[in-house]
Amino acid sequence: MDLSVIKYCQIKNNACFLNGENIFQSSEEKTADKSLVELYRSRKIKYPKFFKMDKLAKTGFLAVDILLENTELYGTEPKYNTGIFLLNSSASLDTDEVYLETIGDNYFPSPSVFVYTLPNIVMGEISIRHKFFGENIFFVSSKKNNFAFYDYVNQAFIDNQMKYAIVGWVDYYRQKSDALVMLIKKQDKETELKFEKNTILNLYK
Amino acid sequence: MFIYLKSNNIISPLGFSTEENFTSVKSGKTGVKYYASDTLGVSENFCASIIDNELLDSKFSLISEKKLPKFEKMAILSVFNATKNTSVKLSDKKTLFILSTTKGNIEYLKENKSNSDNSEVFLGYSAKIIAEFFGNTNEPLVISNACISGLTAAITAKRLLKTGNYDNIVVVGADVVTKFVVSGFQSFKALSEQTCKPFDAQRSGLNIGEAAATAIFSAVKTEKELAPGTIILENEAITNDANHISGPSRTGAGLFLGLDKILKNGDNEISFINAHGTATPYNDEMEAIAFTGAGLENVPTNSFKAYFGHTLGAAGILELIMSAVSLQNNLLIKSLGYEKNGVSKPLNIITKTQEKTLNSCIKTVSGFGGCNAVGLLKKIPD
Repeated sequence: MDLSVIKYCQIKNNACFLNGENIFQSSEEKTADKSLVELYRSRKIKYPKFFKMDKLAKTGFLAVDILLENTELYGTEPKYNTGIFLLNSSASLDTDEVYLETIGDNYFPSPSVFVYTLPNIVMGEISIRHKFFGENIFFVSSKKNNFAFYDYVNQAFIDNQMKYAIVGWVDYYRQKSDALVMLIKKQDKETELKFEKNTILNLYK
Repeated sequence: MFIYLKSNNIISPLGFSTEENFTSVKSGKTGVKYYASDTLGVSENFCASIIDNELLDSKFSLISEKKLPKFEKMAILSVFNATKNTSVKLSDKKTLFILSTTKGNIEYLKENKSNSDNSEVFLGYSAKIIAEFFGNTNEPLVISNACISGLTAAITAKRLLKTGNYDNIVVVGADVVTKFVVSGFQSFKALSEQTCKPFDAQRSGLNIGEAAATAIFSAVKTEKELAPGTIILENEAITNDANHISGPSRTGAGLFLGLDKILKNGDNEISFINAHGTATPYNDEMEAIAFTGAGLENVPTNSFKAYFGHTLGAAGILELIMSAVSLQNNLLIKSLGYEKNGVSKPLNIITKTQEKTLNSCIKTVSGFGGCNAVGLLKKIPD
C-alpha cells in the first residue's frame, strides 16, 4: 500500500521544525528539558499534566501536539482508526537513571517516577490527550532505519483499515531530545510525499 | 495467509522446556516462592518466581562458554531449545529476531555520574547479542510495550510475515526479577506477600516472575498445508484505554474494544480464555467487566500468574505458548489461587484441571500506559 506523509514535526537540539520550517529556537545555553518547557509555552498549549511527565514523554507529547495542530485529529473527540507507532534507541533509560537514584542509599522509590520507566507511557499520554483508542506499539532499535519497523507500519495499515497513523522516532537521553514524528495516511495523490524508507531517512537529516 | 506457531520453548523455575513447564503446571506446581526483603535490598518481603542461577549457568555452559548477563543467557538458551528439533535456519537473511522485554539488563544500570557508560543496558544492544549468537545479521526489533509486549511481539511477527519479506520470525520474550522492578511495584503497593490469587476475593496483588519464552512463527498460504493440531494466530487486536497511565480503565473500554473486534470477525466459538489475571484488585475487576461486556462471562477462564508470577515482557508470549499447548492437549488448566469470586461481574473461572475438546482460545493482556492486546488462537482440526 502506498502511504504518504501529510505533515512532519521535528524536535532536536533545542529547536523545533514543522514540515522542515524552523518554528522554535531556544538559546543554546538552555538545557534540553528547560527548552521543552519553553517550546510548550511558545505554542500556548494548556495542559497542566505536561509538567508531571518525564522528559521522554514531554518530547513525544510536544512533537505530536504540534504535528496535530490544525488537523481533524486534534482534541478530545474519540478516535478509533489512528495508530501510533514509535521507535527509539534508549527506551526509557533517561528516567531509569533517575529512578535508580531513588533506590540507592536514600531508599525512597516513587510510583510517579517508576511508571515512566516504560517507554510506551509516552503513547499513553498522547492517547489520553487526543483520545486515541487505536493500536499503539513502542519499538526499540539501535538504528533509526530499522526496516522491519517500516514493514510493520505498512502492514498495519492494510490489516486495520486505519485512516491515519502517527509514526516516528522519539528519544530523550541525558539532555538530548531527538524526535521526528510524521502524520501518515493512505496516498491518494501522486504528488504527495511518499512514506518510504528513503524519504524518512532524508527527513532525519 | 495463515500464521502458525512452528516451534516454542519456555524457561522458568518450572522447567527448561515447554513440556517440563506444562507438566509442572498440570500437577499444580508453582514457581513462586517467598523472599525476605534483604534478598534484593527492598523495603518489604515479597513473593516471586525466580530462576536458580546455578542451574541456569550449568545449562547455559552446555551450549556456550560466553560470559553473559542472566537476561541474555535465559533468552539465548530459550531460543536454542526452541530450535533443537526444527529446520529453522536462524542465521538466514529471511529470519528476523524480535525481542520482547520491559527492562532487559536493567540490573546493570549505573548511576548517571561523570558520564558513566550504560551502553550494555540499551535494549537494542541485548537484542543484537542474542541475534548474533545465532549468526543472524538482520537488525533485530525490540518491543517494549509494558505488560502487553509479548503478545504485541507475536502480533508484530504475524504482520511482518504477511509482507512476504520474512520466512521465520523468532519472538523471544524475557525479563529478570530485579531490585529495580520489585521496588517499583512495591511503591505502587501492587505486590502480594503471598502467592497471588487471580480473580479471587482475597487477592492482594501480583508476584513478579522471571522467564524466557520463545515462539517461532511462520506462514503458509492455505490451511491444508498445516498438520492437525497446529496452532494459528487467527485474529488479533491492540487498543489503548486513553484514560490513565498507571491504572486500567474502570470501564474496561480498551480491552472491550479489542475483544469486540476479534469476536466480530469470524465464528465465535471460544473454548477458553487465558486472561491477564495479575491478581491486582483493579486489573482483574477491569477484565471481568470487559469480558462480561463482550458476552464472554460463561467461557471457561484462567490465569497462569500463580504458576509463573507476572513475567512482564515474557508474559504474553509465555502464556500464549501455554494456551497453545492446552489447546493441543485438550486440557483446561486450573486457575491456581482461585477459591471464591472476587470481581463484580462473576466469571467462569476454571477450578479444576480437566480434559475437554478444545478448538480455540482468546489470550488477553493489559498494561501500564493503558495498553491492551488480544489474540485469538485456533487449532487446526484433526
